[in-house]
Amino acid sequence: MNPAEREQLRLSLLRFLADNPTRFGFNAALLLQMARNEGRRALTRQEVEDEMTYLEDKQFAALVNKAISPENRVWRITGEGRDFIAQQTT
Amino acid sequence: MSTDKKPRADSTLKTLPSDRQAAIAEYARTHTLTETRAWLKEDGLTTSEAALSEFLSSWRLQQQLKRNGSTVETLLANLQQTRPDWTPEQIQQVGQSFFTALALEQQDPKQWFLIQQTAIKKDQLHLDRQKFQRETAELFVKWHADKEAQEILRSTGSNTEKIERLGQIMFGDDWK
Repeated sequence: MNPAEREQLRLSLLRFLADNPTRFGFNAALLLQMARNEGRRALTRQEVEDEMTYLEDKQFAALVNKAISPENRVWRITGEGRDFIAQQTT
Repeated sequence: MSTDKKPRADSTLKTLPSDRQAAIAEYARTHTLTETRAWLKEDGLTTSEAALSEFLSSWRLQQQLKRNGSTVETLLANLQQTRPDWTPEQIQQVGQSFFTALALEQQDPKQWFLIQQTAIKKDQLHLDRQKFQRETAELFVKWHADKEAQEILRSTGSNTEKIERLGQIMFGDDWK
């Protein structure tokens, strides 16, 4: 993935989280399928996990607390993430 | 340096009232992107095809996730009644698993591919229809003054016979 593709993937992942109107989060498998449905056929689960870690570090996404199997990470968007998406400009 | 930035076209659509967004999504369900853009323009809303496409993807995803969420909440409500000893965290955990499995099934690549192909075919049919209409008009301009064509039109044969004869002079070996 080149830097431009990585940037678009990050935006797509954040957009998927922002479009979630429920109280449940998305795991890597679901995010991977959504991103692949946008044409990224060679995208891997590890790449999704890496970019979600990036978005966590930026505080745009947060892990959903799980008592069982916390290693199977599930994410939701944060307020900062929503504000960022809303401010996206051309 | 100016700090003015142009807002994203799809963010304009996303800031519309929800019933208006629903109306746009409903219209787009049975019309091409081009037709939908023209319909929006009549209402004073200018947007690009890419922005409209992204808005519709986002809208459909949200609706699908809402339905998934609703299904899971119903299941959880039933589960709470049958398992009153379960803690809210346990219920939430089960709900999360159900929700993810259901959403993943909905994002099935074969289903997604079929949806995309249907949208592409709808747009292609629209383009083909536009092309056919233009070619028909061009043929009329070209042939209306042709003497042989005028004789055929003035002849006493049936419409079917006239069409057959006109088709033969206009298209030669390609006719039928």
